[in-house]
Amino acid sequence: MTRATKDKIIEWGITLIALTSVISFLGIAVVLFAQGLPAFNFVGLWDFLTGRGWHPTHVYEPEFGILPLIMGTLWVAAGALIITVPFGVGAAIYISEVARPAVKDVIKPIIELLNSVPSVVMGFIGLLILAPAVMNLFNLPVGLTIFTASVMLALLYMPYVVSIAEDALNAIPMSLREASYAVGANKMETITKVVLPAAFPGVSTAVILGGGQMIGETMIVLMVAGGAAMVPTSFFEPARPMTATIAAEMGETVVGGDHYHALFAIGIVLFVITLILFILVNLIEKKFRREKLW
Amino acid sequence: MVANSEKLKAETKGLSFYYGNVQALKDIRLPLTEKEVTALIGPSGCGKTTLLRCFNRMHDLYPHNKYEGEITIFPDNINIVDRGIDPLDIRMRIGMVFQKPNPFPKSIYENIAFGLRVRGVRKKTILDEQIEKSLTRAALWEETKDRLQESAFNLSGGQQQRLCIARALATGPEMLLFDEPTSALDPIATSKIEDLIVGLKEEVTMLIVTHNMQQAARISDWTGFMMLGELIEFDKTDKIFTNPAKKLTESYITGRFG
Ligand SMILES: Nc1ncnc2c1ncn2[C@@H]1O[C@H](COP(=O)(O)OP(=O)(O)O)[C@@H](O)[C@H]1O
Ligand SMILES: [Mg+2]
Repeated sequence: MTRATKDKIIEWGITLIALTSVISFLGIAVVLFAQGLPAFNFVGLWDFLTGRGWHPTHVYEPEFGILPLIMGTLWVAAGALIITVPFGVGAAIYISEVARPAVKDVIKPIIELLNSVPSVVMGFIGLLILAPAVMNLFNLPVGLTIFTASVMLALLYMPYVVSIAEDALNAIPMSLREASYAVGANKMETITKVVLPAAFPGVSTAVILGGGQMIGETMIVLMVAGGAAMVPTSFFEPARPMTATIAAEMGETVVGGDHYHALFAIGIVLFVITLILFILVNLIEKKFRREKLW
Repeated sequence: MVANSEKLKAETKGLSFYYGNVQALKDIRLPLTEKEVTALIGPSGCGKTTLLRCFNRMHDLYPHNKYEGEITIFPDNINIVDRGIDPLDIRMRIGMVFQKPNPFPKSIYENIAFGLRVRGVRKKTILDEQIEKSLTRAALWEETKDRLQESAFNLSGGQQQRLCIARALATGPEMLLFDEPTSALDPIATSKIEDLIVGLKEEVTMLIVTHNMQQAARISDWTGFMMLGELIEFDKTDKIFTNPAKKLTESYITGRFG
């Protein structure tokens, strides 16, 4: 076999692999829309998105308003981000800019270990340890709240955010730090005024991608968010995020029924949110590349 | 061989430097005459960069580096490499220009403002004035005065390097260190920077590492020739290039090695 033929075969192989992922993506989208769009025959898009009542199995007057579910998802993810951003980005800064190599060698494996904890285990810990603690600490009737879910989600995705943020910091060349020190800046000034701004696109990408993962996470919110389909008004109320709704209810629906299509329509909403975040990440990257600010 | 009649800005005595266990500088004695240009030449890996970076304690940024001996800065007789001396204080007085232009990913204006802000300058009028002044001294004002808010990365390589010089000048340094500042530039950009360095002699003492012997001959008053971590010969530039005392120096400048 000539080298040119080998090259061709490898090229085709790679193209095929790439095509597989494109086809899977399109396949998922087609199934999702095929099963989800029929929902809009019995509930208008606007009523679906803004309706406050989610009673899909009510015998006489089923309601298909997912505002409580959307808000549940957003509250839980926002809470988790509020915890993850300072701690995750802070940890990344510490590891990349401050820690001595010996300390780094201890911390990095611990964070990676955290990364290997399955979400169901996180959910279990939340259920057994955090929920009772939250209940007692804040004097609540139940410990299964948005706050509980947010903390466990934050723990689950902390390693993810830390490692992408750390990559973004490591990608800043040493010569930039040297330039800062050479004009007399100290470590704090170098980190906050030179390294972080330079790493901003990468770090914000880490945060957005982390947020996307949190919105899609299912197991923890199913186990510890409380499950009440109401529009939340505080972090210490239970919620029923979109993913938890699909997971909890899909098994009990009649295939092809209204409830079934409505759950797929929730899937479409999740899909669109993820797509928007993806586009956002790309826009940030483009903007910074165009302005040549990194 | 060392000019006694002229005023010294700094002098290294018995200076040695170690990367971990590896000794990169051996017992260097190098005087720097005030408001003149001293050039360091020598084959790749002989320790020119290492010596230059001792002057602003750049080696402190990395672990396991060790200085021995002295670099005295005048008139206050401080030993730069003394452990008790804060490297920040040194870097407040001695500026540096690197081999590859390394502007911050900020606007042209902010690139220069940074060093001033670090020194506590807040007033916009003072910042504006200093920025114009240092860009002018770096022969960059005409080209940039209408685009100060643009990213520094929009400038050409030569302009970026002059911006880095302006950045170093803005804080009023007593000394400037240059590490092969033109090695990444084309001949036209190179000659602009050389002119600039010659012009700066009026106000600042300069130490420049160069790989290019013609450059050393063109712009420096004093030249040190280094090999394998040692300063082999140091003298007036004219003397080094016309009538060196050491055989090794002669072979190097006549191009027999390196
Ligand atoms: N960070 C470092 N760690 C260990 N050795 C180094 C380091 N930097 C440079 N050296 C070594 O020190 C010697 C001098 O290097 P350098 O000062 O960069 O030479 P020059 O600038 O004259 O080319 C070389 O042998 C080089 O390999
Ligand atoms: Mg060098």
